[in-house]
Amino acid sequence: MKLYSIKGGIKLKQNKFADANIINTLPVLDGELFYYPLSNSFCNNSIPVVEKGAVVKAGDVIAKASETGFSIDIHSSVDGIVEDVTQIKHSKLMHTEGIIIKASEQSGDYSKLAPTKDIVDTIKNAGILGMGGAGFPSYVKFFSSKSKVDTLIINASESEPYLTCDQSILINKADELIETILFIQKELDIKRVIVALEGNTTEQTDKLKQLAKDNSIDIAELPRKYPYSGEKQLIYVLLGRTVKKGELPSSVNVMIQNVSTIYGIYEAIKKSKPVIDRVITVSGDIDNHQNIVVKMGTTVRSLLEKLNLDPEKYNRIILGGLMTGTSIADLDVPILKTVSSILLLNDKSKNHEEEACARCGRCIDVCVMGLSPTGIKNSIMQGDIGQAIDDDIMSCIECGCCSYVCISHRKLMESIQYAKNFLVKDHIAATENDKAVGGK
Amino acid sequence: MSSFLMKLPPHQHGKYETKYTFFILSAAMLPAILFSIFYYGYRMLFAYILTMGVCSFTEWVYESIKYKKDYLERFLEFKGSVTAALIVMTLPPILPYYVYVVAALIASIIAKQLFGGFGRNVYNPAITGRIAVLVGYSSLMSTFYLPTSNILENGLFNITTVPIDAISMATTLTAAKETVASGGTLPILMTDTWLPSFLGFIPGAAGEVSALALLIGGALILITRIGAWRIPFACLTTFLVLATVFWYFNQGYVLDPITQVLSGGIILGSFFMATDFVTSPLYSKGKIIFGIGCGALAIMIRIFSSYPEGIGFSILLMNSLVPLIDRYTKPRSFGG
Ligand code: SF4
Ligand code: SF4
Repeated sequence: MKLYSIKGGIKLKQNKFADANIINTLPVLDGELFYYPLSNSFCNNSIPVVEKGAVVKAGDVIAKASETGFSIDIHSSVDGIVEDVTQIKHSKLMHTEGIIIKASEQSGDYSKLAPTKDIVDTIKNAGILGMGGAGFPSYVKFFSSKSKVDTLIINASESEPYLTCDQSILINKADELIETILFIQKELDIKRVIVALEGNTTEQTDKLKQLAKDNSIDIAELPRKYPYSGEKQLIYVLLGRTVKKGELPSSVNVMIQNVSTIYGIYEAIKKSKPVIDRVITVSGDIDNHQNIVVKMGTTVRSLLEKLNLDPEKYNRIILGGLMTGTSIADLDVPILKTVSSILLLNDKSKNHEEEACARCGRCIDVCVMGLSPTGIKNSIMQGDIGQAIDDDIMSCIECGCCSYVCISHRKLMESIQYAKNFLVKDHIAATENDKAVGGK
Repeated sequence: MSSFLMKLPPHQHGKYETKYTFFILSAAMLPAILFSIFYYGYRMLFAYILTMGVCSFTEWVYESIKYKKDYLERFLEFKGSVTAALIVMTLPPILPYYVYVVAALIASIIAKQLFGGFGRNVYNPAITGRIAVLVGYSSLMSTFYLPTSNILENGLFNITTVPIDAISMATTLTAAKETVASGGTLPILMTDTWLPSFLGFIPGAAGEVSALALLIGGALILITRIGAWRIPFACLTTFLVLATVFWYFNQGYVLDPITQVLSGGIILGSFFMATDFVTSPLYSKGKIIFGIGCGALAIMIRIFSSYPEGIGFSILLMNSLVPLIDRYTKPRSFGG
């Protein structure tokens, strides 16, 4: 199929060591503690519905979605007893309110979701989030896409190094994926479905390709470049449609779903199973690379113990991919729905000191959003957030390419991320305040 | 436990660093540097070492004061040495050593550090240094030599005194200017100078004579993609097109385009000086505009002014336009 080309992006070393043909399962130990934060990147403030000492089964709702903002139900991933409802650790938020459950003997079964008429409700009740890493609640995507979307894109491009978890699903769960895709296509009355493969996901996926062909689903093989998988990039590369600044994919009648998310939807719809586990890649500078099904709420520490990995041997541990993941200092943080991998690395990497911009222009060349990362960073450093907003700071997809290539080791993406999360809001509030005061 | 390295994403970095970039740049200049040593003798080697020493030292003192810490490591970072090498390469070959020192001091202190150091300077330091001594020591600057032997024949230490083994001679560009000024005419095509100019066996500035050596270095810059191809491409194309036009309408009074491009500093300038990151535009469109400006001004200064060579002035002039160019060539964001 014809692809449109976009400027920018980088070639990364693949390092795809984890065998995608096999998916292992991580056992649950008696007495092991599981942690469930009530807030996540997009979804906040679920309300606990269990108390200390309550007996729960896997799949039971332990916290209900709140009425305000984006919020989802949270399910226990194990059979056990509620140990406490208190402050717990979180890889991104440091500390947050959460529920701790102590596992007892596992029955291996789970409480099924109540049947609903609407696919959107099922997805919401199952607690499905964008499992590629962003964590945008899927029900919102489905809701805003209803009767609007003509194309569904399945993002199977796993362009970050080391990761093979999506590939493992593509290989091992091809039937299930296609079944779900056809189901969604029928439910939402979608004309066309494209599965976008890239890098390692194009390998060993003959079964999926054959099934797709039989069901007139298009397959696109993207060039091996990071980050063609950004939503706006993917839509342009595949369809030639441009999502305007500040708009969502639904504005050009497209919905994008990640492979892991589709598999989550499969479990919700066909097996009435909420998201209580997911496949993650364990890799890095270790020997036994693998893809493994991990129960939500498992701590990094207990995962490493069960896999016989000694954390002392490594100097950094990253949840998620090398380009966008989070490095952790504390092993007691839980693995959540958005975590696609754990990377244990032992290398000479350090926090480089930033040097003056050499004005080489490399960051501008690689930015797939066509931004000038150095210009935006300069504006931020000078405190001129207004200029940064004019230069479209909010369009940044936080891919990290600019920092990756900067010859002066400037923390471009880091500053932009910080400004986006904190400074821009303040600036907008301040200017509105000014306007209000000036208007009087 | 807390011994894990905490870092914001991205957790990896590409292989290109300032150090690496400057190392490649230095390597790219090496063919031309070696040629000048081969051609003009060991004095050139001393000149390079001396100038690099001066540049690196001032750079080191400056950074030590500015950042209040030991920057000994930076001594070896090739930042000062690219400037230093360019100064020696653009000056006539056999000069009293103090001229190099003056040029180096002006380049690194006035043109670079007073502007705020690496990354902030507006004007290309090497060209600033060169032009300062060009104005200050104009008689020395117009004396060029054609060596009658080289170090392969004489051994490294044999060309000790000047001008015993070399004859003083005007460059092609100066000679042409003088011929025309005294009422003579030039051959329409100076075919006999083409090959020596390409190889470098002509009188000229130390590092500018051999087009071949410079093009090898230029190719290295383009292959490793540390420099932007847009500037040299736009600059040389504009230069050649305009040179052809002027020559076509003034045959006999203007050198033919091939001779034009092979003599003087246009190749060195467009590949190694106009491409200096710090003093050239940031965005692709701007780079093309900048290249066109450099090429056009260079040929116009050569033809319409009393200076035989114009690449240095033209780059400096375009340097001052960089902030303006940047402002109007900002890229449009995707979907914005
Ligand atoms: S500015 Fe944003 S979108 Fe552009 S390269 Fe940097 S992180 Fe990626
Ligand atoms: S990559 Fe780094 S040094 Fe180069 S222009 Fe961007 S910020 Fe400046």
